[in-house]
Amino acid sequence: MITLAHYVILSAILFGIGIFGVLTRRNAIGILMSIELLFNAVNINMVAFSRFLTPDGAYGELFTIFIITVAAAESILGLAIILAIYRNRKVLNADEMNLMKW
Amino acid sequence: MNFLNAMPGEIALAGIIVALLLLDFIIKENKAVIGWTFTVLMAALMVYVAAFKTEATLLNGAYVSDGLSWISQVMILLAASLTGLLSVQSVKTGKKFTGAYYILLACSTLGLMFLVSSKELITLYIGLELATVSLYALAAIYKTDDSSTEAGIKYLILGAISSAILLFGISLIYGITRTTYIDGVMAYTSQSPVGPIFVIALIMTLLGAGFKLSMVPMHLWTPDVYQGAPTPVTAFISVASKAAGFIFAIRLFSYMFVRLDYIWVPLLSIIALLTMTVGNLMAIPQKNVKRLLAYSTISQAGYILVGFVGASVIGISSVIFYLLAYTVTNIAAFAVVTAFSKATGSDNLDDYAGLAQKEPLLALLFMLSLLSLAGIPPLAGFVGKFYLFYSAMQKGYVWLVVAAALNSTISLYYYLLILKQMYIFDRKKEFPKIKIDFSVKIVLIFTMIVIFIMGIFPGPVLDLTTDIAQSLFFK
Repeated sequence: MITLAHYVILSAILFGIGIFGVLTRRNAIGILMSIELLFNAVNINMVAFSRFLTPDGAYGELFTIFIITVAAAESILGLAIILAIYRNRKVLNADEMNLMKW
Repeated sequence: MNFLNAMPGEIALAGIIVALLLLDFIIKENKAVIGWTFTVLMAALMVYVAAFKTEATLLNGAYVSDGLSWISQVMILLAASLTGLLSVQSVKTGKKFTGAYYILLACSTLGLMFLVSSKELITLYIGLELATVSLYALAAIYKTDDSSTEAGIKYLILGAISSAILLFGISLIYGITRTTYIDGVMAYTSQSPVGPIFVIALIMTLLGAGFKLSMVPMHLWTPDVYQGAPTPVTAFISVASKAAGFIFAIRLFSYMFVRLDYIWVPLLSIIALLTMTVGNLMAIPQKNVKRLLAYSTISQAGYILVGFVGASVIGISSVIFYLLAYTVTNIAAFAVVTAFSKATGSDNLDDYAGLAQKEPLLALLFMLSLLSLAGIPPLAGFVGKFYLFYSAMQKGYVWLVVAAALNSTISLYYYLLILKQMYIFDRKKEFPKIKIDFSVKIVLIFTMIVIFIMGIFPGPVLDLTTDIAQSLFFK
């Protein structure tokens, strides 16, 4: 029997993996992928809460659809900017995007 | 409830975005027209929203037009029209992207207007993202410029991470309280005791909201984005987006979590202390004016957080008042930076040396805005800071007020460093004569008038902000 706790723990693990990826990835596209993991962790949470706790309202599902849409917009914009940087400077690694520091 | 009567400003702004798109399509050559249209329409909309205040609740309380949203919408539209004025004659995006620039600016304004009036977490999130996604694109609008694109990607990555953290917090709150309405969450917290998971959710929402405020653990994007983005965009991010972020924080903390203030007030007081100290100390060694102003806005955010710690009604009132003062002051400072960097192509602090001999007026205006940021009477910043610290005193946070006053002194040091460059040192390099554009002149005159009025006669504005703060708590 899969209970709500399973979903929440899965989501927490996914969120942890996402944060780990964001912090350790060097490639900017890899960072964007890790950010997707973060958003999907939230989505699992939302859908599970909606299914188990408020079965008569669809707030969680609604929120999930909005999150998926916004996350798609954000990653498209991110890829576009990464492409622009790559064309200008032939750089893909986040730690080489260091024109400005301190 | 009729939507058109309840949210005329937002609907008009959505129409303006479509109109700008069409205008971009029709006008082929003289693209500056789009910028002027944007500016004039924003100013007109601001006057309209300010004159016809609406009180309404839509969608079962998910969206409200109340005093708080009214004053912040006026503030956001004011910032948008001033940013438009700063942009028309100085942002060189080329014919292809001029239309996109103003459309993105208008989209961001719309998102911020939604953000300040929503009282439901889904609506709030959509408003927040509409505003920030447009700003990511705006920061990277010079797409062949290395620092602009770098600013854009840094802003986007850190912004996406912080909104994911905010969302995780919101999802936990939804799981615990089974509602996404702010009123519903507030009702839950006043009836049931909260567990450790709720505290984690609260901290996560605090961190997520802190991104827009450039609160200390989430401040790392600020200097890079401020330095790399085009100067008018920097002005907009530092003013409108930050003001809306604080209104967002008022709705979340001073309203939704008001019963849990024993958890977040001590936390926020420490964060306020860290924010102002880090901002001020990091500002001292900076050599780039935009970067210096970025650290200065971090420390300003720290002072505003002191108001959150303070007693409820007077605290909120002082936060709104300070946001108004900060909006005009910061726009004035960035107007000078825009004029200077357009004429000389430089943002280096060293190049400001001897500005007072060549351009006495520009140097004087920069001095006034910096002194207002530092909180010197009789300028607007002084009154604002005074009330912020007074509200924290009311609640007995003497140590925080002492720390804030010390921090004000530190901030005066690096503001005076700029003044020393401008007034005492001689010019090292020769620059062309700085011609202040007509549009920037309007911005400078307007902001200076407001800074002096708010500094010398703060009474009426304070009455207004106090009324708004009271209506938030006692309906």
